[in-house]
Amino acid sequence: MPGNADVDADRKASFQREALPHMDAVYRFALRLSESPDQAQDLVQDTFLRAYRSWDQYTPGTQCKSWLFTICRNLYLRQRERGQRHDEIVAANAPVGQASESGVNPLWSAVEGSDPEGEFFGSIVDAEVLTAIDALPEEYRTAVVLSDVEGMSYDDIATMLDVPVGTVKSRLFRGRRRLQKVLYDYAVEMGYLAAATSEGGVRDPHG
Amino acid sequence: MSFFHRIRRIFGGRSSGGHGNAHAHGGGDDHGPGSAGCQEAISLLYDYLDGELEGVSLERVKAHFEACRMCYPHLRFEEAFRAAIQRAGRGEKAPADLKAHLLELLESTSAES
Repeated sequence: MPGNADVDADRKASFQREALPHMDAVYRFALRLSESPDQAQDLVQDTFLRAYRSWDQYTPGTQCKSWLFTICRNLYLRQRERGQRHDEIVAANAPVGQASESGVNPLWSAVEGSDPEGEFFGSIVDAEVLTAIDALPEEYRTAVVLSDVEGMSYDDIATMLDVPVGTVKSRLFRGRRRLQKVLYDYAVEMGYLAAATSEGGVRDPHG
Repeated sequence: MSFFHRIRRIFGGRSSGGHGNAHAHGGGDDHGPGSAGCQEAISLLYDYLDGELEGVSLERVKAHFEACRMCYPHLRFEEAFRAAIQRAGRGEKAPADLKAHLLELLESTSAES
């Protein structure tokens, strides 16, 4: 058919222009989802090949990064179905007290006197932060990465994960609180931060 | 912490007695017209930080965090946390050989039509 080569060339050019610049972001996302860098690389490769094959279905002008993340996550979930980590699902769906969803951070009393503005977060090496992120249940991890690392809006994350905005907020809330606790414990362990003195405040009345 | 922030921590906001207690339990301290109370500001902290507030709601919460020396550190705490997550999370780049390999694959792949 005449003109087919031109169409192919255009498609290739637009894909290279719009999709490929997101490769670092997709790789980072894949690293957070995967068990290993090798698996992440395979995932990135599969994501871009699939995206390229279905490039005609991408609506120009919409969020290309979200579209790529969606493909990447769906591929990952399908792979995971075979060896599902049941503990992750259980942990993510465990009920959490409603009252904690909007109140003052429970870590607050621990840092209030020594480091109220959380400067200890800046002392923690990247590798340790990433380890803490990777230890989160997948649902929380994905929400935190999409929001805090990639800067996506609640709406975009909700669309991508096909859940209500309230669920996104709840996962972010819980994921962030968990992460903060892990990083706080690490900072205390490393001596970046003095342990909360309130622990010593509980005394045996007969002591 | 900058000099400005230190000064703000010391002098910022109204230092009324019992604020700390009211704060921990979400008391709605008044920081002037158009400013949210502590409880409202704390409950919307993430929405504010995530850029999800707009209009009056945004103005009220922003005004509160700027005026309340009790709530302000909470905002700074979350910002410090976010900065650490971003710094770590954005540090990694796709390996060069992966990029090269992918470009080769794309050359030999044609789109579905």
